[in-house]
This record gives sequence, structure tokens and C-alpha cells, in this order.
Amino acid sequence: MAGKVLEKVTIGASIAKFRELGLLVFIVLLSIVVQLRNPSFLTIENINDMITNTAILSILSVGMMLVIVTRGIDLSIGATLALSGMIAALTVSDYPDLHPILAIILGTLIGLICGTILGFLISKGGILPIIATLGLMNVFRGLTYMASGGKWVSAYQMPTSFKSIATSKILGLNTLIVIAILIYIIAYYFINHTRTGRQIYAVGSNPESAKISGINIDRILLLVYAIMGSLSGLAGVLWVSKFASAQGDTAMGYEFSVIAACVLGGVSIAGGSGKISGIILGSILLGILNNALPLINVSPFWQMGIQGSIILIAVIINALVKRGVDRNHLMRRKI
Amino acid sequence: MGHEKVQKGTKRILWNEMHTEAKKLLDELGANFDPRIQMGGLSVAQQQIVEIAKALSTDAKIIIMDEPTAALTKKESEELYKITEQLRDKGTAIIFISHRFEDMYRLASKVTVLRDALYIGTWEVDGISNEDLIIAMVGREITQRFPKRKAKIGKEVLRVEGLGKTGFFADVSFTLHRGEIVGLTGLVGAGRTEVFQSIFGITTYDEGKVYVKGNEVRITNPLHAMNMGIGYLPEDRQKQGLVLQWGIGRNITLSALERFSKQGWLNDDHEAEVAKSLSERMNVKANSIFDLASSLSGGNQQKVVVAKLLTADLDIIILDEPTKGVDVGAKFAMYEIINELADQGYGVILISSEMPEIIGMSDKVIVMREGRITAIMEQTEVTQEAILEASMMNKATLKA
Repeated sequence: MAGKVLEKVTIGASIAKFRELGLLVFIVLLSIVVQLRNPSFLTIENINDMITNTAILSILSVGMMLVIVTRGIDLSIGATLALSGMIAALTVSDYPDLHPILAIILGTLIGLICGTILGFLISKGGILPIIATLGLMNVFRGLTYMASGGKWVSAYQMPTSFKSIATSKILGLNTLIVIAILIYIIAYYFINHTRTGRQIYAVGSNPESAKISGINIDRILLLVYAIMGSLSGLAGVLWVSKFASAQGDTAMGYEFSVIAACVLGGVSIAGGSGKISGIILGSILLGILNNALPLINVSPFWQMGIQGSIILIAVIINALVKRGVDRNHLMRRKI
Repeated sequence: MGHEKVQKGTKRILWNEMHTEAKKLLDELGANFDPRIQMGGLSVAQQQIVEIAKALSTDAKIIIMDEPTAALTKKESEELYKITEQLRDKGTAIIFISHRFEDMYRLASKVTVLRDALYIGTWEVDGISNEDLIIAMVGREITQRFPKRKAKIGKEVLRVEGLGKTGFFADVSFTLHRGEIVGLTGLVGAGRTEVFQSIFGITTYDEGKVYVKGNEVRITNPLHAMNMGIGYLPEDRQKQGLVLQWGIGRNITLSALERFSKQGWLNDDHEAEVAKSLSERMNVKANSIFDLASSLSGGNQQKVVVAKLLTADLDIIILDEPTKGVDVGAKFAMYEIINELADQGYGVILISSEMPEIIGMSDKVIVMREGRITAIMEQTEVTQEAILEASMMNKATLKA
């Protein structure tokens, strides 16, 4: 009996520990299969394209992870992204000489404002995140159409300097990738080595304990939604620069891809847990699926079904692992 | 309740039949309330009875009761005993898990002791003495249930005058000095926790004044309270005191992170060092400070929460039911810790429903009933009877 229990413990614990490894193995296997079916998959060109696409997704996942860690959710990021992307695009089309960095800062600021409004509604207003973000999603989307008057900002209206944000290279790497990597590093240190980072996880793990421990929960909630908004704003500028077009329906429904990337990466919707390494892998897996399934001639309808199934499988594995870990905690004790 | 009566074919739930059945079961247990009432509208004791009725509805031959009396008052426990005895007489076997000795003597025919997840032994209740049971449970002899202590009472650290909150408590006044242990007791629901949660800033109060070290303060949140030198050990360590899925070390330092950080950056080494030394000082039994809080026993979890208080620079420590649900050995360890705290000059408030604990530990005892203080007694004049009288007095007998 004791031996059996011990065995269970080790299996449960090791899956939890090597969760990221499992994801990595899955990504490698998937790549090999796709490569066998279509040799153009692992070409430098395609890989570059894939990672560049994933960069924006993973930037948003970083913010979404923080939100989900506090037991929240943000459905408004697609709209925030569209709004700040649109305003940045309109601004550069009016002032073609504007430095691209200023455009990035402008977009980020707009995102920050959107996120702060949201944060206030949720922390001070006490509105459930899903409701508040659902409402503001529509407000921000509406503002996007109003700002543009329903028109698109197309490639020819944007100066080359703006479009080059997404095509230029720093140290041989695409700028989008460099920005994403910078954000991972900052987020990693923020989460693991700062007081506020620790407090975010405390609030998500046990809000009541966190409150009694003297943590200002309102401040933490406001902060995570403000960070999420800023990252959405930044992503908006990058998106518009990459696709060289700003539309009213830019990134519509994109929030679900971001949430999916988080869930795939092991962020628990119940709050309190999530790692940067996990969401990077989750984003990459989702990016590969988006890229590879069309390459091996899977019909678009099947693509969605396959993506959905993989997300469900990830969640089920997550639940099983969690159950194993919980049992482990209950059992393990020196006797 | 759990397994509904369903009409064959349509699968419609037969509410009326269910209610009749529920009423019958409740009547059997001598409970006379409406089965349609919402659980939230019942007292803890009544909820307990519903739980038992639920167990009965399956025609159970064996019922396992896990700490059913832990949250009950003496009178309510007595009702539960009666029901349990009725069940026993009807031929149901009952396994009654409890850390209360009274439960054993009152109910059980046989008693089995487990310690640290090991089987220690089974005895006939008639043939075993209190001392033997304690030795079996603790693994050593405890000669002194409450360690002796010479109180060195110093300056006043906390004074509360006429504190009140509509609907919760009124006219609460007392003082606390350095090195003093003030016991606060009364029945569950007398407003003890509410008073101190409002002083600590978790909730608010409507009237009255609070003085900390002679200065009037109005504490608005727990962080403010800690900065003023007040620490609070919550009643429910799992829900309010700990982050169960975190390690011991992180739990200990959670409320004092600013002490371990410069401009927001944490100093991991310093943090681990302090957490380790506090954990050792509290004698937490674990392999390392990275062991998860959820893996600890109740007593050790409680030690972690006390260690957490000690990271902050405090003068006043409020302990809300610090020995609730922990075994005899851990209780004794907790008493030693409390005495040590008082010796170091902390002013300690000990909120507890256990009378021997209050009498054995406190320098001064405050009794509350229905939101008001009904008695303040010095250690020399405290008796069980006096506390009982003060906590159960009728309004009619209360002198104006």
C-alpha cells in the first residue's frame, strides 16, 4: 500500500515538474510530423514568419497571465488592441514624419488608459472581470469605428518608417521578436523578484489571506489590468505595422487565442499559478498550429476543431496533474 | 439531499415527497424546523443536525462523524450527544472523530488514538484515565497543562473606549499592557472576532476610540494596523492565514515583504534567512522552508501563521482561537509560544472558547455576550462558573 502511494506521488509530481518539457516534446513531435508532410515548413523563411506572428500573441499572453493569476479574465484586449492600433495609424498617416518610437509610445499610452479604466471598474467598482471587460470590449470597439469613421487605414497611407517597425531587424532578429523577448525578461524578473510580483500571486492564490496580510488588493487588480492594457496598446501598434492596415475589426476575437495560449501554457483559470516559460511555449504551440495546419492542407473547418481539441486536452491534463499534486500534498508527511 | 426522489419515466423531482421524508428524518432527530428553510438561516448546530439527517437518509449502518463538536458550544454539543446516543441505540455504529476529551467520555465505548499518522492503540473508555490518553496522544507526559509564567506587566499599549458597530457589538472598552495576556471569551457569536477585526481594519466600527501606545488612531486597513504595531492571527488559518499552495518560507514573509525588498526588488537570501530562523524558533516540523503549507498538520500550520506575525515589528498580538482544531501536544506548544511572546513584552489578546485555556493562560479575562462585555476579571478571581454566568446571563438578570 505504502509503495503504491509513493509511486503515485512521484508520477504526479514529475508531470507537474516537467509540464513544460512535455509541451516542448509535443511541439517537436508536431513539427516533425508537419515537416514530413510538407518540407517547406521548417524553412528559415517560414520559421521566421511563424515566430514573428507568435511574438504579438505571446506579448499579450504575458499580460493575460497576470490577469488570470489574480482570478480575472480580460475579454477587451482585442478591442483595446484595435483602438490603439487605429489611433496610432491615423496619427502616422496625418504626421508621416513622426518617429516610430513615438507611435509605439502613443499606442501603449492609449492601451494604458483603457486598462486603467477597466482596472478601476473591477477593483473600486467591484464589477466581475468578465462583465466589465465584456462591456468595455464593445465600448472600445465602438470607439475604434468612431475614430476611423468606419474606414480603413491602408498601407499606402502609412509612412515607410512606421511599417518598418515590424520588418526591421535588431542584431539580426526581427524587431517584434526582440520586443517580445525584452518583455519576457522584464516580466520574469517582475514576477519572481519583486514585491509586487509576489503580491499578485498571493492575491490570486488566496485573496482573503492576502488582505489580512496587509496587501492592498485594489491596487494589485488595478495594476494587472493597467499592464494588460498597456501591452494590448503596444501590440496594437505592432499589429498595424506588421499587417500594414488598420481596420475597425482588427483582432476581433483575438482575446480567445490569447486565453488559449495561457491555458495551454499551464496558467490555471482558478488563479494563483502560471509561469512565463509555460506561456511562451503555449503561444509557440498555438502559432505552429495556426501556421502548420494550412501547410498540410487541413481544411479551415478542421483547423478550428483541432485547435479546440488540443486546448481541451491541455486543460484535462492540467486538471489531472492538479488532482495528483493535491493528493500528493495530502499524503506526503514524514511518519 | 444528495439523492433525490425521482418519478419514474418523467424524471421529475418529487419535491413534496422529499420534504415529507426530510421532515420525518429531522423529527427522528428531535429537530423541529422546516426542511424548506435555507441552510444559511440555521445555526451551526442545526446545520450539523441536517448533515446527520443527510447521512441517515441513506439508511447508513455506519456513520463517521469528523469533529462534529468542534464548532459547537457546550449546550449544542449536548444536543448532538443525545442524537448520537439515539442513533447508537437504534443499532447504528458510529465512528466519532474528535480532539475533545469530553466527547470521548460522554459518548464512546472504545477509543482509538492516532498520532502522526500512526496507530497508537485502542482502549475501553472505562479503563483509561485522562493522563493515559494524553500520554498516548502526545507521546510524552505533560505534567503541566498550562506552563507557569511570571507576568511582567508594563506600559499600556492598547486602550479601547466605547467601541461599537451597529448590529455587531456595542460599548466595548478595555486596556492591554505590555507583557500582559488578556483572554477574551464568550459563546460563539458573541462578537469577539468582530471587535478585533474592526480594530485591525478588516472591517470598520461606527463609534468609540482606539488608542495605540497612548495615541488615538483610526485604522483603515490591515497594513495600517501592522504599521501601528498590531498583528492579527485569524480564526481560520487555512482560509485567512495561509496561502496553502505556497511554501512555508513565502507564507512567513508575505505580510512583511517591504522588509525584504529595496525599491520593490526582493532580497531572496535575506528573506530565506529570516523565514528559516523564525520557522526554527517556532519549531515548525518540516523538511525545509520550501515545504508547502498544505502539507503541514494543523498545529504546524498555526505555528507558521504565528511566525508570520513575528516578521513585522509589533507591540500587540491578537490571537483568534489559536488552538482550534489542533491536538493536545500542539496546544501545549502554542501555550509556550504565547507565554514567550508575553515575556518578550508583547501585549497579547487571546480569543478562545475553551475555558480551561482562558483560565490557565490569561492575566485578565474579558467575557462578551451578545456584542457587549459582561465581565472583566483579574486572574485571581476567575472561575469557570463566573465565566459561564457572564457569557450566558439573560438580559433580564443584567443589572442596568
